[in-house]
Amino acid sequence: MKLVIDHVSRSYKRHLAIDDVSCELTPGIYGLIGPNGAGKTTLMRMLADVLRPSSGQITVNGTSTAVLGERYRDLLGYLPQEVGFYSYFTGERFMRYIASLKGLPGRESEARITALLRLVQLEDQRHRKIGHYSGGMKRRLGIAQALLNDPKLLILDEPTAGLDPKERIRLRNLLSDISGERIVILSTHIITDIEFIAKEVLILKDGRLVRQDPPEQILHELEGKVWSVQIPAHRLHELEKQYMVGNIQRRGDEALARIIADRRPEGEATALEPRLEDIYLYYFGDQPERDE
Amino acid sequence: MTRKTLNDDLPDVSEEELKRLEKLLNNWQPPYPASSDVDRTIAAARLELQLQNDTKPAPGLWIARLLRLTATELSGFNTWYWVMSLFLYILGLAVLLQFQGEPRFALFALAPVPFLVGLSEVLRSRDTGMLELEMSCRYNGASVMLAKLCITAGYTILLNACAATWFASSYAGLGLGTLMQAWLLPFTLMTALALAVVMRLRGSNAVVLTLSIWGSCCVLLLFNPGIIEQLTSLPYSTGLLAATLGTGLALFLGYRLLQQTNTGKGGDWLEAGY
Ligand SMILES: Nc1ncnc2c1ncn2[C@@H]1O[C@H](COP(=O)(O)OP(=O)(O)OP(=O)(O)O)[C@@H](O)[C@H]1O
Ligand SMILES: [Mg+2]
Repeated sequence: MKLVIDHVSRSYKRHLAIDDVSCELTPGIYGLIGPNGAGKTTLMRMLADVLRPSSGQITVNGTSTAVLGERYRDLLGYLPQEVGFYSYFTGERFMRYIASLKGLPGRESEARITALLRLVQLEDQRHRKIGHYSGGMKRRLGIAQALLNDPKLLILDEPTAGLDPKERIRLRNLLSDISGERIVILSTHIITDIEFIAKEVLILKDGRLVRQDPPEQILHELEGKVWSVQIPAHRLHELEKQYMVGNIQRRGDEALARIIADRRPEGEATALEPRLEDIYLYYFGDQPERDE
Repeated sequence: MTRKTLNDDLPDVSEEELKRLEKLLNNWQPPYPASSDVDRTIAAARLELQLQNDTKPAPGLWIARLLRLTATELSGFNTWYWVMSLFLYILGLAVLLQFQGEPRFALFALAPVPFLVGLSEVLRSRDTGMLELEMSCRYNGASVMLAKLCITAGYTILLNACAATWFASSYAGLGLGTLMQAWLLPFTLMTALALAVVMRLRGSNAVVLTLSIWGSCCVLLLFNPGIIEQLTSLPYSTGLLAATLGTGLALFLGYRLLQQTNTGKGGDWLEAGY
């Protein structure tokens, strides 16, 4: 299966949220990263057939999704950034409701619902009202519904938001287990969510796709650019003016800062092994959220 | 390539060796692909078939689908809606009969109420944000909205028809036709108005607004018994014409609402996602 995003743009009134994005996706996991407002949700909504591109098209194996319509949606599993659950539904009733909207036959879906609720560890909560669920439980229920129709294209908008570290790892393992013949696209602010599992990283900045490459390659390019610098704490702001500064550890009067610089910075600096997190700093000159 | 040319090209291959080679080749089996590869090929072929299979459902099937969806949506309605609207309807009828005493006006005033209250149910998915998820499913947001509209309109018609029948049997001198006409007119016109409002407002606001508009109309009428008399005793032809117009308008606006939902794709009702 080949999904092609072909010169897609999208504007809200006069604001251009997605600006001429083109890329090709084949089975595997793609990590979509970018700061708030970069256009991740907008792009994913268009992929989920919820929003129409202002220009350009999305094709599956050469046919436009606008032509495929229902046939395209049959391939989809989508987790919106925010799901407006009906609070008076129980988890099970919600799953049944989505199953029938997806056109799954009743008998088949019962078994599937049970299996999926077990998968996201909500089996003992299935008869409780969603209004009484915690944020993480709602997120997991959302993930479960996205998998109902065994989708060939799984679109997850910040699936790990609100999940505890244990659940995040479970989700990561789950995704890498099922990714085989599927295209999985997930957006996140937590880079470690996609470390090790992403086939490629898509970097969005101001509505533009600035990179689409395997994580190893991006890391490779950062080699020799990540440094640890030790300076007196009162000189930190000078450093921040000059370089992109990541983590800062204070040790009394001294501070140890992780910075990105093309050449060895002055002072006491040691080269560090680049981590995927540094991508964020490098491209957005900003700190990513941290795991744990 | 014939054996002769082969012989010519390879002079030092004996007849014997050639026979052996032939036997070897005859027994040769092409390597069978791994079962995972076979599965992959089948899956790819199946996907391709699924994508190519562009058959429009027959009209009968389309209606069957809508009915199935309606059944699904029926289960999605909050139970309170049924109870509350039934309660309001009956209470309203009772109060009006008690104080005003004209069954035609009671029917007239309450006809659109269950539908107007039901709008909050119809638009719940749009208001809570569930619609975004619904739109990504096979039966997309517009079908869902259509099914819900059918449910609320159907329920309202059912209530009104029951009340009209009951009045016809318990009040001598009131024909069923007159009574039907009494509720059809306000029901269709208010439905059309409500659909127009709903395209611009959130569900709960739309309910409040349309109910207040209708409530004020009814109060005004209460102070002008003359107009009530005229409205409730319109000739059949006029009443029918007005109701037909109202129905047409409602259908048109309903269609526009569905279109707007589907091409929300215009994105206006989608909240910025953060
Ligand atoms: N419904 C809307 N109406 C108007 N503008 C919108 C709407 N939705 C998004 N935008 C704008 O489009 C841009 C991209 O928004 P989007 O939600 O796609 O960002 P995002 O990358 O998902 O951000 P976040 O990380 O916060 O989820 C933003 O500038 C936002 O203000
Ligand atoms: Mg977003």
